[in-house]
Amino acid sequence: MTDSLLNDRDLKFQLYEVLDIEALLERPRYAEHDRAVFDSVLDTAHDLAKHYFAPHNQKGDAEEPVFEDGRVRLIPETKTAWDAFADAGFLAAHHDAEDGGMQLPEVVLRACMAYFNAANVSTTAYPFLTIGAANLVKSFAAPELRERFLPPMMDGRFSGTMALTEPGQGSALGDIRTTAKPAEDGSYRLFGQKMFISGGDHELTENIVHMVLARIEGAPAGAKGISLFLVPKVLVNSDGELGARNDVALAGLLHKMGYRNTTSTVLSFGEGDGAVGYLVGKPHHGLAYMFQMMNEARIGVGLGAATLAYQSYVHALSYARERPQGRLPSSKDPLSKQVRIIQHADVRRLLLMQKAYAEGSLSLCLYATSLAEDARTAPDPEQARQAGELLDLLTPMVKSYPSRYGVIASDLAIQVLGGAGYTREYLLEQFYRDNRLNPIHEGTEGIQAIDLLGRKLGRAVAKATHCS
Amino acid sequence: MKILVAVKRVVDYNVRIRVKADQTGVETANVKMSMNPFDEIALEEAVRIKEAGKADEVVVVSIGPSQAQETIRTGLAMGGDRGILVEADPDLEPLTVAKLLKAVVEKESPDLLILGKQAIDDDSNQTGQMLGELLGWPQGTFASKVELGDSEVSVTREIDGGAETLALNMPAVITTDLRLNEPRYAKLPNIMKAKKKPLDTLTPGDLGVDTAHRLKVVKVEEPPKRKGGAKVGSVQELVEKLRNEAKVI
Repeated sequence: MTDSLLNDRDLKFQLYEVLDIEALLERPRYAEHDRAVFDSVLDTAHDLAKHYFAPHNQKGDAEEPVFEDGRVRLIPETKTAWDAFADAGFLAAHHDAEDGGMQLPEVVLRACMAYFNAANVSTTAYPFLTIGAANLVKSFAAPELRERFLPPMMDGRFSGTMALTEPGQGSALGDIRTTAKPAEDGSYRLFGQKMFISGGDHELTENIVHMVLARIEGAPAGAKGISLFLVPKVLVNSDGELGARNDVALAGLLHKMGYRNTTSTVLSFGEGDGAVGYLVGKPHHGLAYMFQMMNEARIGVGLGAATLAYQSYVHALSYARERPQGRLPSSKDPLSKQVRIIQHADVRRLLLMQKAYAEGSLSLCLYATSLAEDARTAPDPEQARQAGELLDLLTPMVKSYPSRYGVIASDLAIQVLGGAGYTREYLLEQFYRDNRLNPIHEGTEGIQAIDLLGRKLGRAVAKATHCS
Repeated sequence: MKILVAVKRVVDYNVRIRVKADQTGVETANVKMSMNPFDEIALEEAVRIKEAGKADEVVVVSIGPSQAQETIRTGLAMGGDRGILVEADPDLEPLTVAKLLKAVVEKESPDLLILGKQAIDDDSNQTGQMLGELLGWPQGTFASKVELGDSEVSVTREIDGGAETLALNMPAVITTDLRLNEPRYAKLPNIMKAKKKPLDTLTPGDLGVDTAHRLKVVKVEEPPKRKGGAKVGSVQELVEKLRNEAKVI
């Protein structure tokens, strides 16, 4: 058994040598930073991941969340991990200084998330989703709404979710049926059911902010009639105090193959008078807003898959270096010492395949994040535009490649351990089950293919034709 | 009330130590370095005393190469107020370190000096004791509990027979044991703030201390590999093996 999550040297090679993130220090936004700060932040992520996230990875899998008396019970280590993450400032790290953040470059935050994912991907899902939901609030919510909900999502009092999928439709979001009725006070009342909502209920935080897609009564059909709403689990008064429980109920938990410590929920909105929701941005533009979160989440899923692949590889490598078995073909003496299995050609092949998938995927995801960084903060507008377009084109692959080949890496890692890899005494079978989710959520592989071929390439070709 | 904490930059406790090929020491090139864990405990204790309103300033001192600045910055991110680096060879002997710290103490006049009981690289466990003697201050080593009074400090020490509690007049030297506290992790905003805290650099020359080695390292090597154990069938067999094989009785 190894206690290594990610190799610091490998990660720093990606950040400093491949991506040259020190060049970011020249941008005014990052003038206050230096490499020592980045290193300290990464070290802190590694330490917290190891101390608060890794130790309960297996326990969270074995003792999955339970729904009883209308409440969700998680193993208590999840709450300790959440608190450590929030308390250290990771939920707020990339936000603007004026909002209370430290303006950490996104690519450094992603690298930090790689440590947390490697340690415990299902507990990390709670902060991961909260960061994404907070970004949506920050980007698109009206100032009053933002002031009420963003600070507690940055300090860890509130968590967040993305509530898109319904029992009848997930991949085809244009068909969603949750409806929003305008109320007299300018807010809306939501009615409908959402399904597979990760982190949709738990007691890690005093409130949960659901970012919900719904259709305002009378809206046009299809994707152009979808709006985005902020729906809190508990209502929040204008002074920030918690009010009554909103009309959002947990209808049940789904029982998953992996990622078990992340609750996957069925949520009912408006079983009574309707769930109070606040429109985010303009009516009927919800899907476009949600795509910001989804695109971030897609890079995040790629990274989660890459780190699970990397973890599988690290564990298999450590086992192969220690486990003696058999002799090399050149050895004819049956009484000679057995060799470590890493010396066998086929085991080396298995390991090298994993290494290629894992490190290649990690590199791809960090590269994509650096494009997102450039799109946002590159001083040259042309460079920013190009980075944005390239990221747009690559996102379906950044999501799909690590998801598909990460599972294969986890599969090969089990193969290295043989029978031992198939037992629950080792983490490999859990990594495989956890990683099997990644080709499915945040747009299945097929959806990514449609996005790439149907939308992104078509657009790029049209543009190239137009230019020439 | 001012507290001085000494911290050492050492090979990270997770790293598997390797002896250099030429047997002159342990490999430190391309190896992760971090703050000595006992010193983290020392710093945590100082910061807690300050947070309880019983101290005004925590000064973090390190003696080592220029990279030890990073170790001091970590200490400042954990709650130290300012840092002092005495830039010197990383392999100084405990007596030299004690003399350098004594010179820093004379400049700074702290009321309390807290150190880790030992550094995990050479495990000498000497600096604190030597420093107490050089300064003529009382010392409470292997502290598992520290309670600050008005002019004295009560230190519960871990000793062979259990624990003993001493009352020391201040100024005093305390060295920390593992059970004293659980050190905090630096929060990200504090990592940023630490950059702006003052950090002075001195040299042994500034402090008038000769750092020449007085001990000679003959050879560094790995301890012999442990041999597997064996079960014995009876007490007689055990005694027989202890006498004839192990030759210890």
